[in-house]
Amino acid sequence: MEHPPTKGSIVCVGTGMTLGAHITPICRSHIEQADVVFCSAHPIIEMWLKEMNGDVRTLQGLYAEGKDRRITYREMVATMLAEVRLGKKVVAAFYGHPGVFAWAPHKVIEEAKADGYCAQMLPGISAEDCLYADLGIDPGRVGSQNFETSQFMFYQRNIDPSAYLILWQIAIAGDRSIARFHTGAAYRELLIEMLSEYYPLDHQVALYECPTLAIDEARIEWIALKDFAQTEVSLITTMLIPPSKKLRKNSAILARLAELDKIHLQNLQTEEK
Amino acid sequence: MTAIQLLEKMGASANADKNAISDSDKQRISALTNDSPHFHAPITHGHGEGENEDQDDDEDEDDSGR
Repeated sequence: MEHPPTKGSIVCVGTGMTLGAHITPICRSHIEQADVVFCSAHPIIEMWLKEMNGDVRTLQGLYAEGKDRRITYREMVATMLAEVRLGKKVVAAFYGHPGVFAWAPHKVIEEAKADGYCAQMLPGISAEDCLYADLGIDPGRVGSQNFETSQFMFYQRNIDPSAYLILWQIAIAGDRSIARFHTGAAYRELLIEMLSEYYPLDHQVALYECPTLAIDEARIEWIALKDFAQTEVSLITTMLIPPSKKLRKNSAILARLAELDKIHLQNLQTEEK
Repeated sequence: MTAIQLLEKMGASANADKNAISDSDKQRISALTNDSPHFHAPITHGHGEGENEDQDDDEDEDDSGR
């Protein structure tokens, strides 16, 4: 641009998952100091944000059953950018982490930067973070794979059943329209069929929901994979699939590493002399 | 203290005891929950994160499943 704008900015922040428990001091500070706060979060979180800032506007109204969510997300970006272009200090507050399984926050930052505005993202506590804590899972133990469920179904992916598998947005599994708020048992049966290539049907999987309010409990429901289609799920339900196989050693690489270790040891001994 | 402030305090306090909430506070919190419109959680879509429209279209052509 010939004349980069000096005013107007956007910061995408995360509210965390549970009201009051997860928001970081820096995210809260940005919310309090913003000219306008856009919000995509649970309505009670939205009420909470209104106690921090006098101009909180929801983006939730852009959703509609039957409306392609890609249109919704682009409208979110356009709505936020319009205020940035008016020279305002804009904050966009998204539930959880603004950059995890969220298209609009990344896009609005990309477009704002391209137009010469200050734009940044600040992390929040995500559902994944809460899942690790509530289910006692360490993703570093055997590794962890994360997929948006529909994307997992649409594309040919390689699953490692010796690592954890986490599937997000399972309530809309297989939604090709990107416009539904729920698919159904038949779609989930197809998902079970896909997963059964890697896991036995009686393999125990966890359905997880992080509570929005501190007075509520997390949903942690262990079921057999085969029962998933008949189990109630919501838009915030996540599936954790523990490993079904043990880690297998890579003997060829381990042998080569042993050779490298031998050379390393010899070099050390030479240096000592 | 508003019901939201109460929830915030409970969320942020290590000493919060949800079993110690008074009946009137329970009612105020319940009213908040009941009055809340539906929450549409998905903020990403099945194509994959960060794709632009052109890439979406390209993938549609490449992927007979869509």
